[in-house]
Amino acid sequence: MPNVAAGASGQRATSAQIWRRRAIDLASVLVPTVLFALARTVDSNLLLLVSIMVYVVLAQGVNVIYGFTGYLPFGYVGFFGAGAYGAYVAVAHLGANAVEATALGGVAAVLVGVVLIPLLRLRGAYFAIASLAAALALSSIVSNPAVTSVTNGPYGADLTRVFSSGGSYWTAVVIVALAMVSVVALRRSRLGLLLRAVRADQVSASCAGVNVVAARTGAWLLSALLAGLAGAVYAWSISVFYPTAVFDTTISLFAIVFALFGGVGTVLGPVVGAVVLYYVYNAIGVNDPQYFQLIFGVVIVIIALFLPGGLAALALGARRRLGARRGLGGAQPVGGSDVR
Amino acid sequence: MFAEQAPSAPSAETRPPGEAGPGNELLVVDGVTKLFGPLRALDEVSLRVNSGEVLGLVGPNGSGKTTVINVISGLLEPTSGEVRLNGQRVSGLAPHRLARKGINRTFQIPKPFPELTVSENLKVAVHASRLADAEILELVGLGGGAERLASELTASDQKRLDLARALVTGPRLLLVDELGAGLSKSELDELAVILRRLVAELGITLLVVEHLLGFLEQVTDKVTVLNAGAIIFSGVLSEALADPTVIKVFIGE
Repeated sequence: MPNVAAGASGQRATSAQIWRRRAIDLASVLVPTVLFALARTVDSNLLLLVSIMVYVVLAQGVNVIYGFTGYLPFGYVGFFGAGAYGAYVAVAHLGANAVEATALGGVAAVLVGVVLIPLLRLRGAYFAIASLAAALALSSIVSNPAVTSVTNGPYGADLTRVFSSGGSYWTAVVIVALAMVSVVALRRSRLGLLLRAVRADQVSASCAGVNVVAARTGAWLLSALLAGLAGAVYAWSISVFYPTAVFDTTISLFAIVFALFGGVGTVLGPVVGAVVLYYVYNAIGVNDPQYFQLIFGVVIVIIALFLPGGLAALALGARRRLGARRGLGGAQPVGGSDVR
Repeated sequence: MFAEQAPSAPSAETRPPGEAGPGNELLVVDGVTKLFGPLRALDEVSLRVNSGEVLGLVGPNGSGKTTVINVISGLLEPTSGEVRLNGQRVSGLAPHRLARKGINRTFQIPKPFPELTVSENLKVAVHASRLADAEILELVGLGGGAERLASELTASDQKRLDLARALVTGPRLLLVDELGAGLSKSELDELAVILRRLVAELGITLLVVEHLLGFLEQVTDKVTVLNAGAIIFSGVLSEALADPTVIKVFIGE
């Protein structure tokens, strides 16, 4: 009997493993979604809850682009602002209802993403700087008095006509669910596999027949969509805003720090990172910004120095150590008969 | 600058029958020059590899062997000259397009995706081979190791994985870059057997860059010798070893 098992059987996951994987995926989507849906019974500050959900979605968007491609998007807020103004234009000029406007905000961000595809030719710091420049340029265009008839220029956007704290809250819950589904699906999909390969070794991936730019474009547009939806629902929830509020570079920075703190490349890390740090920000950042900046600075330094994998790496490490102590984990992969 | 394919180029049919060469030529490297700034890495290099044959490419360090492979596999664009596969110009195409056209390669330092398992490494590649992934792993001697992480493999097995990933794309032309470097005698013998099987059983044409002449002669006796970016000898391996110019290059004065 041992002879039979040696060959191809080792290559297929057992059905028990497949079901376990599906259960984990489902839980990864449902747990955060349900918790946010129930959160209003604990905390009645809906604007705060929407803000947290917005940052959860942004952190997941950063997770998609940084975690899967290694591109650090300092100009990520550009998509957020495009989403906010896309929603405004949809309501003010197209007569859309708030939910339609939120969806159109996502579309607007994807269109900006399409225009910026050439940035994906750049690497590392050049990409980070170029994306920042693009966001600043977009901000200048939107807030230019010359386009007052479209965006109301520097005078701010008004969405009070469609204001609904409950509506924006539930829409944000749905967008969180969508963000979770996106990340889970990306991890399991062929595109996710290709992106992991491209991230590990671009040259190898290209020689294996992977169209590197096309694969990155997929992740780029998905992360643009998430940020656009987040910007649109944020705009809806605060209902009156100025260009400086939705094109604030701090938003990019927060999203990146939240994602890194929780752990990029994981499904739940960015969620935990966004919730924990946003609460910290809300507790001390609003009243004592100088202390908050100090804490944030220290957090960034600690992550960079000691915990590049974020909280998720800490959790995985703890599990591995526990497993090793019990004599379970850390062993050779199951079923991998020694090579040759 | 260059026409996609000159209509006046003599095709196989217009040549008189029986003439050696063109009808059977899979790869033509035609007067390729590659400059890196002031450095002339390749100087008017021309190569022809017939379908089903194995050509060895030898030369001292820095002679441009890997540059030849990088140009053919699309990682580098030639400064001038061109590369043709089956008469069709392919230089200037991106590596992923060339992989789909039937040109693939291995790397001197193998480049698997370390965080992925062996089977995932193969799944990344476009699939055009008539062999299943499991058969390819068996062929290269990695059968049974499909679920191991690539980073856990020994250097020799990483080379096998590199080879397997290239084979998945169903190459007609496989460029093998210093496969033998750093391997033991028994590993070399095994890999030589594998390369011969690729030619005999899968009909793959090989261009083999190799330092180890003992390994190379197990795979082919046809070599081209490169020195300082230029070809100094083309012919049979044993004659190359007797050629004064070649000896001077390899051994010195």
